[in-house]
Amino acid sequence: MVAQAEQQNERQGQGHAVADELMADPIVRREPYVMQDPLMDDLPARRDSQIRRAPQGSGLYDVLDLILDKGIVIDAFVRVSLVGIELLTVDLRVVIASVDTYLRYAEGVEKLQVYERSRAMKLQDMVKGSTKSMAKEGAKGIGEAITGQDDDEDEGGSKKNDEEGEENEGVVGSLAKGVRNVVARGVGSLVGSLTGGGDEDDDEGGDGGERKQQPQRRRTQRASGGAHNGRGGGGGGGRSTGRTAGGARRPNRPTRARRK
Amino acid sequence: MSLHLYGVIRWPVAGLTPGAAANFGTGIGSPPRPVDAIVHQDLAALASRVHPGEVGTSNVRVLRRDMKAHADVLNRIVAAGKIGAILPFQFGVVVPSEAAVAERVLGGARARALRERLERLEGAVELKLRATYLEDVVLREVVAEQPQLAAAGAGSSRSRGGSYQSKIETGRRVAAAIRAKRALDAQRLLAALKPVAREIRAGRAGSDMTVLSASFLVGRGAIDRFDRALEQIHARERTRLKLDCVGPLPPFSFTDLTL
Repeated sequence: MVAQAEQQNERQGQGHAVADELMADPIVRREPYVMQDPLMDDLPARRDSQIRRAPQGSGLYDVLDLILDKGIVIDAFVRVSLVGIELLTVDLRVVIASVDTYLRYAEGVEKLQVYERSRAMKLQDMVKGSTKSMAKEGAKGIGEAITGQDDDEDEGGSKKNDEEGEENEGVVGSLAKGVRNVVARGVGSLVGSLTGGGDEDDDEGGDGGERKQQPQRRRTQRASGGAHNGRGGGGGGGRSTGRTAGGARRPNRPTRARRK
Repeated sequence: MSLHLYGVIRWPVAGLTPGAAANFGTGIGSPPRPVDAIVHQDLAALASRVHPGEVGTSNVRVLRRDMKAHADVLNRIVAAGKIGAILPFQFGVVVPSEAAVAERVLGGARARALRERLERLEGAVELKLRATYLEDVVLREVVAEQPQLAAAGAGSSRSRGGSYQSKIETGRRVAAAIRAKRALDAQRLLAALKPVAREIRAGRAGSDMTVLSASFLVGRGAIDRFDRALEQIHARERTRLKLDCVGPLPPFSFTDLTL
């Protein structure tokens, strides 16, 4: 109850002028809705509550599948032909199950193994004051992992988890976008164009943190180059990653984390 | 002149007269055309004029602008909250004349179906929810639950021969584990939100990391409760799930009507 009152006070500070019976409800009360001209659609996406956001000012992507796929249709009148648009709604529901995805999962799981082990060993070192764990596996890979761990722990342990999370989200996000773009090319790039290039509209819904990830995302793409280099590249990328395991690839991760 | 249709509402609405300027704002077209109510008995279809061939262009920019305009007309009405229920049209439904509205849209047996829907959806809006995993977290969970997967993954990276194949096998098993997790988590989310929604329509997930993509029909008075339920879920699951909810929306997913 107190929390809700506090939230209400916060929102009142935003200056809602519209008188409406709905306006009494702090969750439903939203930004003053003055726009009559649909061309004025540059309002930033506002959050009505912590999780929910109003559709006005949001990207087209949010409602695209609704307005194209749901709602009333009239049998007698053939809907005007929207070039390739019908395919769009199918594309939006394509389930990604591919070799690239499996490789990504395998690598993700593999990285977890290394970090879990190195974290456990670091703790052992601290507790026992021994360095014998260093000799257990290939010293180079583990050593670099622990070095990376060191730096991040200086910054704060939880922050490292956030960075890992963000980086991985970036890979997921960019892979998903990559698939959407590939599919889009098949329908004349309609998908990307209709959602405004993908990036803005997709991310409007996410936290502010998602926008920050974009530069990271690109770094991740260039550096890893594995899963999302297209079908032929996917195979090659996977192989080369296997060969250089513990070598070139893994040290990149701690380095990236440090740079942030 | 052809009419592009936006939605069906009951008529009359307090404070609105057909033909009055700025009743419903402007809709599709360049310049955007005014949206007005075409009344037939106790129902009205919201429509704006289009030149034949103006809708259905292959110009993506125009298409995008018009689709946004269509959505905005409807979202404005929902946001204003003065109209109890609106049945939204899919984008791109065009009829040849006002007479056709009475004959083919609002008249006869259709009127009955429209009234029934309007009653069922009275005072309710659509809230669209998407829940996605944070990938690294769910991978960690999978490894914690099935440690042999991590061992397999690590092992495959060390050996040269067959490393590619075993990676794929590991990945496939991880994908299966994620799929099972998704089913459980989706079930839990739906169970948590079912008590605060009139109806639910769960869509197909768009990707491996999408746990739930669903629309909820929620009475306006219950939006508050729905928000709180979402916030509770968020508090519990924020380390592993990303929640994205849009609304209030016109009840596209609950209209279920072909005229």
